[in-house]
Amino acid sequence: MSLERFKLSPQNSWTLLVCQCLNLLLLVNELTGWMLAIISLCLSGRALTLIKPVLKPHRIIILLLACSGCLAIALSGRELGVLLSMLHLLCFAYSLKSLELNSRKDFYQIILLGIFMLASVLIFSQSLFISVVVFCLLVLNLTVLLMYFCSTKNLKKPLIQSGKTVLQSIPLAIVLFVVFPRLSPFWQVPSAKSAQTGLSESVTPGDIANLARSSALAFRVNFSTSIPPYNQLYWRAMVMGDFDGRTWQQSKNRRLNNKTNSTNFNLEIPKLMGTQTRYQVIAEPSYQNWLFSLAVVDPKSLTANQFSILQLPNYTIKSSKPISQTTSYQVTSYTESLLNKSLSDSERLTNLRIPSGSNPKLQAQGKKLNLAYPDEIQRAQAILDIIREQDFYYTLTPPLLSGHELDQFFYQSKKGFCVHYASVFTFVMRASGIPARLVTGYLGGEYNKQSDHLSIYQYDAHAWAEIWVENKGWLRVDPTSAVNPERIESGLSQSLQQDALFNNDLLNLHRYKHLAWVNTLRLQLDALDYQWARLVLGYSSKRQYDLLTQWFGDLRAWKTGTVIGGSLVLMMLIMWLVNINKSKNKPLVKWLAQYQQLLSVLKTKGLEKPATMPASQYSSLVTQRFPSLSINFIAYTQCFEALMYQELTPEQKEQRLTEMNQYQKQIKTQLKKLKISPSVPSQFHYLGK
Amino acid sequence: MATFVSPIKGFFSRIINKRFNRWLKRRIPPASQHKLSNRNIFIMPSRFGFVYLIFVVLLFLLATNYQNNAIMLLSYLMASVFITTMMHSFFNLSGIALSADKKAAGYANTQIAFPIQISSPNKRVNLNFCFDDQQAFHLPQVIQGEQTVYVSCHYENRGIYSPGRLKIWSEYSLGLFITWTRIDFEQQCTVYPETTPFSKSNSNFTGSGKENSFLENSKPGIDDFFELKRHIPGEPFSRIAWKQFARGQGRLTKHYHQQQGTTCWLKLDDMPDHGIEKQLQYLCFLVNEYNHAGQVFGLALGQDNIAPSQGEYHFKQCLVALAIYTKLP
Repeated sequence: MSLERFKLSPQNSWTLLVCQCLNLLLLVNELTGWMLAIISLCLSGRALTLIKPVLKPHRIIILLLACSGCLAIALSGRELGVLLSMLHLLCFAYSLKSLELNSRKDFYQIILLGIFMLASVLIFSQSLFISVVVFCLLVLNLTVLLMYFCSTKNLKKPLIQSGKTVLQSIPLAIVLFVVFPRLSPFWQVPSAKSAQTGLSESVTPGDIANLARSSALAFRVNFSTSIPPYNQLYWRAMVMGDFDGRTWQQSKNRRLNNKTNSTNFNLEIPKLMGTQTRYQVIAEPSYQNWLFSLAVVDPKSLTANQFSILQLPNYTIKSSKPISQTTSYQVTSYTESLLNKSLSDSERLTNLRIPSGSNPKLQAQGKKLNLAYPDEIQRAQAILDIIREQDFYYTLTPPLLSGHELDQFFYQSKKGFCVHYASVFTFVMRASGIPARLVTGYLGGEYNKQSDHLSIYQYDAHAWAEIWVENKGWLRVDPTSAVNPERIESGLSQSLQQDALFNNDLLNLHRYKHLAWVNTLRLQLDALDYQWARLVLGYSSKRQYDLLTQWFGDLRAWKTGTVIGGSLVLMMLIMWLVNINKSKNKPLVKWLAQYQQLLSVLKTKGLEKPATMPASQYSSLVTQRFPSLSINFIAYTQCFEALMYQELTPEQKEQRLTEMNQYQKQIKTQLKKLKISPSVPSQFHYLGK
Repeated sequence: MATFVSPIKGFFSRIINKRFNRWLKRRIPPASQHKLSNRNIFIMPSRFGFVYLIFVVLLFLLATNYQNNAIMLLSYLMASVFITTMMHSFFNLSGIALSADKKAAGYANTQIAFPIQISSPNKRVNLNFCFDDQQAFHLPQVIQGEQTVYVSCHYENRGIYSPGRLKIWSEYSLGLFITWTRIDFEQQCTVYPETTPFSKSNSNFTGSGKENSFLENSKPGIDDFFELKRHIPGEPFSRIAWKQFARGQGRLTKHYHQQQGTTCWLKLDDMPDHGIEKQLQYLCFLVNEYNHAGQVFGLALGQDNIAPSQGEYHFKQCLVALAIYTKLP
């Protein structure tokens, strides 16, 4: 074997560069600005050397660039965290490598690095859309590799070839995915620490209004029992007990409780009653621990999950790890149960506490109500009546408040979002002596008929209140229902959504909900994405075990091995057979086959070519008969004869063949237009000559 | 250390090579025609192929540690692509039929080409051909149908060689595998001595008999050209007057003034004594010159002589004699 000099063809180089840009583009969101600047410097340097090879940067410049880049990454390492630092290093190496593409080894490295980048894209998002994009880019990466081995000028052929390779590989990949044993993690890996999304752990009036502008998916729910009505779908995430006059937060002592006592919080098991609702929640990454559930959760149903889920005494559930990738869990709830665990004195105090001196008008109002309505439920109803009867507005863009915000809102501006109403209500209830707390979570969800699931988006975020009534426990009161009942029954109204404009994102399909076909398309895409999340992303080792035991009875290593081996052999066999078929059916020379095909067409038009007649003679015969064809047919015959009888280089052959194809197409279209009178016998012409 | 190891290593590799060659002979016996199939195609992952596999395992570890099914699927897909590529690499070679002439000839220290006829049922990509320890020939595309490639050999010394098995290999489609075959056409290569220009100034060559030496009579720079006649099919191509042909005067053949009645003997003993190989090279040069000039000449190599004659057959005969000449003790 000789030592060939490594050289990429210009097409190959440019495709590689484009492919690199696309790979990097997928990670743009995760990279810092300065890294993007360095990367674009490297890539444009590469482009420059491709245009003018003289401008190749000197080794020392590359070395300096490498050192300074590594230094910058090392310096900002603490700020970025381990995972992002690694990612920066990877992207940096990937783009720098393009400046130093001197040997086959470099080329291979760059391809593998590119594929590794695609894999790391999937750490951050596993949605169907991203996965499909990653798949397409994988094909492109392999195309670049393939182009090196088949030196063709156009991109199409290698693209088709590598696409074919990948498509042919899919069946075996699926078998491996389903059957190959899933292992538990070998070691701890740095997890993605992106900005937390969704609900936050503290709430000030106006917070959720921001969330309401986002159409990002929060989670999906797949009910295995019947779906409760919309206005019962209060997905609880967090319970806020502490109020400092401005901000609601979770009770501190309860947080301490979580740490000391992780399993059951020395609490009695909730009394479950009524019908059960079973459902699977597929949560999108929020980088927080909070999970979503309907009250009251059966603690036994949580133990069947892959990761540990805690149930807190305030009836919310929480994962032990932040949710950093699409995660699914199974819950059973009893929605008719009461939240009536006993209320300790300290809890009672916490849920009655209001900062002295804050919002004096509301405090006074609370005291007044206490005197007027001794019954707790009537007292709560009185507040709701005030909200309903006075001229309160429900809006996503409330005016800015200052000072005693709740007073200002309740007596002056009267325009607010769910947090405003829930805050005011909870505050007044506490002032009037009823233990009350704020609950945040999501309300409702969009039902998707195609796949029978609910999608809950960030704009479904909601806040409501719970009050403690003796013998009944914590009762849910949603003050928003008093001002905007539509929100409770069916979600944010169209006009409110248009108000919010969804961050002015023109491409967002949620903007065009009013267009029926866009909405159908959106729901269909949502259904697909849901199936992807449920079947592929949610395919855990437990699901695998269940499925495989269902198929094979008991699970044995040799059975798994047989399935994998069998499908491998089957795949190879099928490819083998297809290949044999392919090389058999094709006639040895393509042009002859084409020519014969055209002859058969002409035969149907009544002009048969006798076997002994030379092609050139036949061509003159055709021109006599169909003068309109003459130019094309003569050129066609010339091409054919050249291919048949002349010694041509492979390139010339290719060219002739494409010419021949063009003529053939033109002749065929002309023939279709022709109206042939079948009266003239074709043989006559030939014999007459 | 290395001095101890290398002879042992060499010994083992020689034994392995020998056994492999014996096995190969049974597996792919020599023939004038070969059709590539699973009987004679070998396939092995290349170094990049092994690196690729390690990479796939790495991806699998990444996916397992993150419990990330999307990456898991990607790693399985990559593993599956490995298998598919293996099949494609195999398909790229299989089905090709090859045939070759048994004999080729040429001068030492020049590239001697072996024409190999390739017939392929469909398009193939990226094939390399070479004989053992010889320069490789790269064929970027194999067209559907028949095609001839010239695989070259290079020998430093004259003689008759067997170029050995022809190795055909390809790294298509993704460089993950090397697919190769080694087929034996039982070819033979006659290597003539190198032609070393021979000028009077640095020699004392006089020819046998003063007046019948061609070189004596022809002074340098003077053409022995005599006349142009119509080309008769069968006359050597080298004597066609291409200039006239280019001018459109038709095919004319250059006829040289022949010293009739004089036959010229090229004798080994007449060559300047620069060693036997050098002498043969000089002779080879002269044989070429004489043949080109259309001169009748004979070759005297001591024990076996070739009677004076002219023409292509005679010329070849002389060259072969020069190639295989061995001095008798």
